[in-house]
This record gives sequence, C-alpha cells and structure tokens, in this order.
Amino acid sequence: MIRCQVCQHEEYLGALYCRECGSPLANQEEVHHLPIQNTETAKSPFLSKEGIQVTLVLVDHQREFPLSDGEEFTIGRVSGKQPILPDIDLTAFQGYDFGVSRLHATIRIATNKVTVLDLGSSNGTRVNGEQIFPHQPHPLQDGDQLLFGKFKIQVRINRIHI
Amino acid sequence: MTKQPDYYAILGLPRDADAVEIRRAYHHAARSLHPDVNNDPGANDKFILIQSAYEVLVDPERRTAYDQATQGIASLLPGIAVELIYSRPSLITLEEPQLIYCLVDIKPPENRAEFSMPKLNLSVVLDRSTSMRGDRLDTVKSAAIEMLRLLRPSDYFSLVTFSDRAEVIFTSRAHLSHAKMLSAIHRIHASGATEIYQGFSTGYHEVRRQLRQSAINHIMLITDGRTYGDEQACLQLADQAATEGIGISCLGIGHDWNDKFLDKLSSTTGGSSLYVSPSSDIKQLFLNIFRSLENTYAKEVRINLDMNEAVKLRDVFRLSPEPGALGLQSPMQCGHVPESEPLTLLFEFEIPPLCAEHPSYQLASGMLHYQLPEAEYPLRTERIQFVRPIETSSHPGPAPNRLQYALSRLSLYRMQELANQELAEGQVEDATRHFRYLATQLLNSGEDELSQAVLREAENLKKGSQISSAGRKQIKYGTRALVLPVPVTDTGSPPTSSSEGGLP
Repeated sequence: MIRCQVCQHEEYLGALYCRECGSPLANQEEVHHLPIQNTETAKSPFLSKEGIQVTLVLVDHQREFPLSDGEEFTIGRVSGKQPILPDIDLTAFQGYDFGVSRLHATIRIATNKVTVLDLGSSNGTRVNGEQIFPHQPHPLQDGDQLLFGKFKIQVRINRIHI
Repeated sequence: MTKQPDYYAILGLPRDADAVEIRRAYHHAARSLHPDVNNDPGANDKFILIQSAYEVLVDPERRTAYDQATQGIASLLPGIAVELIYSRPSLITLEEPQLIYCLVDIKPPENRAEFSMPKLNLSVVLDRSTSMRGDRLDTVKSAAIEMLRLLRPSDYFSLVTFSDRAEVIFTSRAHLSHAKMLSAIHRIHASGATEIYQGFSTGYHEVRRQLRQSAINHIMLITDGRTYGDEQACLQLADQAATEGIGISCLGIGHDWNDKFLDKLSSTTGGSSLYVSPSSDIKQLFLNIFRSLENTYAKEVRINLDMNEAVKLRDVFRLSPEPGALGLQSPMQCGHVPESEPLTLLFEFEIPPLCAEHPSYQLASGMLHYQLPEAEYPLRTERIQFVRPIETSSHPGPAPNRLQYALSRLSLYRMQELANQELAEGQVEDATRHFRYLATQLLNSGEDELSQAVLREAENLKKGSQISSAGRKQIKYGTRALVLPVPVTDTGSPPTSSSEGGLP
C-alpha cells in the first residue's frame, strides 16, 4: 500500500492520486516483497488466509499435513494427561526419540505471512539450520527446512494466483 | 479481372478470426443490414453479400482457399490507429492488489484518404414546456435556425417539440421553403408539462425511419426539466437505439433537470450530456454538437472486452472528444472518432495479488468495432489487448505526463462524485470533508471559481441546509470539463498542477 503524505489515507500500489484528499501520491521508492515476508499490513482483507495453503511435509516419513481451517497450529507430542493437545502429534513418528517436546512450536498463518514460534522447547527449533529464539516469531518461506529437535519437517506454502 | 469481395471487412472481422467470432459477426451484420431495418439503396445486395461471406469463412476449406486468393486486398490496411499508454511498464509480484491505468487513443490512421463529411440523419428534440418560456426558448430557436443553414441537401433532419405531447414541426423531406421552416420555428411557444418520453420517442422514430449505415444517426435532446414516471421507458428506448447505432446527445438547461438520467440516456449510446449553465452560450454548445457530428471519421465505436477473471475493471472514462463516464455494459459504447482529435479512453484496472509464475500477465483482451460511414465495407474490427510483463522488482519512474494530467483532473471529478454519493447516503460530515479537500485541490490548480463554488456548498452543508441544485451541477460538470486534454506544449508535456495539497 502507499500512504498519502497529506492525509495518511492508504491506496493500492499503482494509484497516482489519493482518493480521500486528491493529493498526488509521491513517486515513492517501491518496496517490493518476495512472496511471504514481514509486512505490517494487518488490515489487508484482500489476501485472506484462504489465499495461503501451508503444508507440513514430514520428509523422512513421506507424510504431509495440510494446515487448513485455522490460524495457529501447535506441533508436539501427546503423552499422558496434558491440558493442551498439539494439533500435529509427532508421537507416532518417533517424535520422542527425535527430541520433540510435548508443546514444541506453533505455526501461525496470518493474512500475508506464515511464521513459526518456538514455545520454549527443550531441544530448540531450527529454520534452515539456524536456531531461532524461543517465543519470537520467525518468518517462513516456501521450501524452508524446519528442525524440531532433530525432527525434520519441510514447509510448503502455496498462494492462490491466476 | 473480377474483384473478390472482402469478406472479412464485410463482416467486420480481423483476418485471424475464429469460428465463434465469425458467427457473432454474421449475426450482428445481418441484423443491421436487413432490408426491414435499413433503407440504404443496395442494402439488399449487401445482405446477400453477408450471407456469402459467412458461408465462405465458416467453412475451413473454402476459407483457406479464399485467404490464399485474397492476400493482397487493400482493406488489410487498418481503418483506425489504436495506441495504448500504460501508467507503469510492468506489474510486480505483490501479495496485495495493485492498480494500473491505461490511456487508449483511437484515431484515424496516418495514411488515409481525404476526409469527406458523412451524411447526417438528425432529429432535434426540443422541450417547449412552460419553464422554457422566454429567453431559454428564444435562444434555442435561434440556434435551430442557425443549424438549418449548416445542413446540406444530403442530410436528413427533423425538428420535434414536446411538452406533454410531441409534435413534428417539420422534416427535411418535406422540402419546405426556407421561409416556411423559419415561420414554423417561430410559431413554437412554451406551454405544458414535461414528458420527455413523448418527445424522445417521436424523435427516435423520425431517425429510425431514415436509418442509414452511411449516415450519422443521432438525436439531440434539449430540456430544462424533469420528467415523471417515464424515465424507465426512455432508458429502454435508449438501449434499443444503441443497438441500432443511434447516438443521443443531451443538453440540460438550467439546474432543474435530472443529470443522472440524462447522463445515462446519452452514455447508453456512447453520446454525451452537456450542462448549459446560466452563463453558457446555448447556441455555441448546440452548434458544437452539430459540428462534431459532421466531423465524424468513425462512428459507433464499441468494445467487447473479455476480462481476465481475477482482474477488476474499476472504471472506464472518456477524456475526449467529450468527457464522460462510460457505462461498463458489454459492449462498451464509446461514441465516435472525430476527424481532428483522438477518441481517448482511460481504463483503471485492479490486479489481484501476483506471483512470478508467468513472465507476462493478460489483463483483458477483446475486439474494438467501429464503422466508417463512407466506406464500401463500413463494419471494421481491430483486436485490442491489455498485457503487461511481471517483474519481481522495478523502479518505474513517474507515469507518462498525459496520464498524470488526466488522472489529476479525473480525481477532482471523482471526489465530487464521492461527496455527492455520501450526501445521498446521509453522511454529511464525510461529504463536507471531501468537498473541502476538493476546494483545496481546485485552488491549487488555479480553478478559483470552481473552488469558490465548492466552498459555498460546503458552507451550506455546515449550516445544515441542502446543497444547492445549481451549485451541484456546476461542480459536477465543471470538474468533468477539466478532464479535457490541454493542447500539448512544445516541451511535449501538458501543464502539471502544483503538487502539494495542504489542508485548509
């Protein structure tokens, strides 16, 4: 979006005049975003979640979990009685052996970004080999390799286009 | 050597038309040339030609043979030049929508034969209700008399007056002496209510009676008031007129007439409506319309556009020769191409979020149909395509000057449309705010008088009263008129408005 410097009204990229006050929209350096990135466009009803399809691929097990009908998906292990159950249970896939905590991390799908958040797991979370800080959302792109402990999951992100 | 007829031109098709396009063109051509509908001498022969054209082109084998035999046909030369100017050279990958604008210039081609003015088939429909009494009617009568002098023997003309009934004062077929025509005009007096449908349908029938593909078929409606209960009937008749190639221009005198209605009536046919303010010269406006009809190079310009499903065509506006919003109906009625200036349209597209899957993106494609009145095969077609490459990043620079200028003017017109819409919905505060912004922008552009008019109405609103009807029309048509392109200076750029719009 472009912001009018006079009245702060927002217009789509490509607009030349502000519809609110009529001022010319300065020829701004366009900030281009690769398909999914950190953007603060919370009010962006035009690319809804339905525009993003996230799939978690369990590489070593040839299983896929499409994430649908929701904004937040918890990855972990079900073990005994626990108040919060993870959406994606890696118990059956030797999650315990690979160091996956019961509540290991969440994947959040927002209007135009996908992020992973480590919930303070014992063995940590890595994105493309780099360890991420707990409780700090980290952006994800199509094809990223996640490690929950030693458990490998690849992220696929597809977006609705022509 | 027998000359092969140009079957493509007969049907108004580009040479690479496919079967669907051929069938569609055949039906359109057959309808307008059917002897019941068309009085041109030789219409029947043309009708037979259309049949032959269809039979050859729709059969693949016969078509191939025909194509090979006719490669040198002169009508391969386009009868029109179409130029597209975009606001940006490419679209970019983006996870939200983006806008792109396109100026479309439609003009006569560079190498063309010398221009000859087409015949007119014109009906002037004149309101003679009580409110027209006095100066108004006198000036219009005098304009009609002036116009009579400009008619040529080959033109068809009828003068219709109406109040609650309609009368045909005379037609050119009556071959009256000049003196008799003048006295018939002088005898017109004002009395009665306003029933536009009466006059409009009478004028329509006069034009229809003399309908010719080789003529400019047109109705000029002049009124100062509102009609009650028959607006729908008028609009339906206008739809009918549009399919038959009859254009409608409206002149609204004073401030009582229904501008939305007259705008719609004319835009349905690609014509335009004009506001005759108290300070306008009715005669001049009247004669301008008349002259522009005579100066038609191509008529009945229509665009059949197939949009990319994901793309929204937000707006199409005609910048010249007469500014006005175009209806988004299909086909789009665009009006005529004058001899001396382009028919210029401005398209606004909204593109959905894009990724870089393909190198280029088709926004829309379609056919531009037009007619050359004096040509042997008048129905013509050009393809039109809106395409842009997709890039992942770009620094496009400012949009071309003409586009910048057009959009800066158009944004003024749109702001008053927005404000009036908000008023209609009872959002007085929003409307007042937008009027204030509009006044500022007008002042920045040097339009002092209009700016004052807008501020006056904003004051009215603030005091809790209504916006004045005269003021509203002045603002609407005043801002619309600003859209007319200014002649380009030697530096190749029209004057740009001063940029910063500070808040009042």
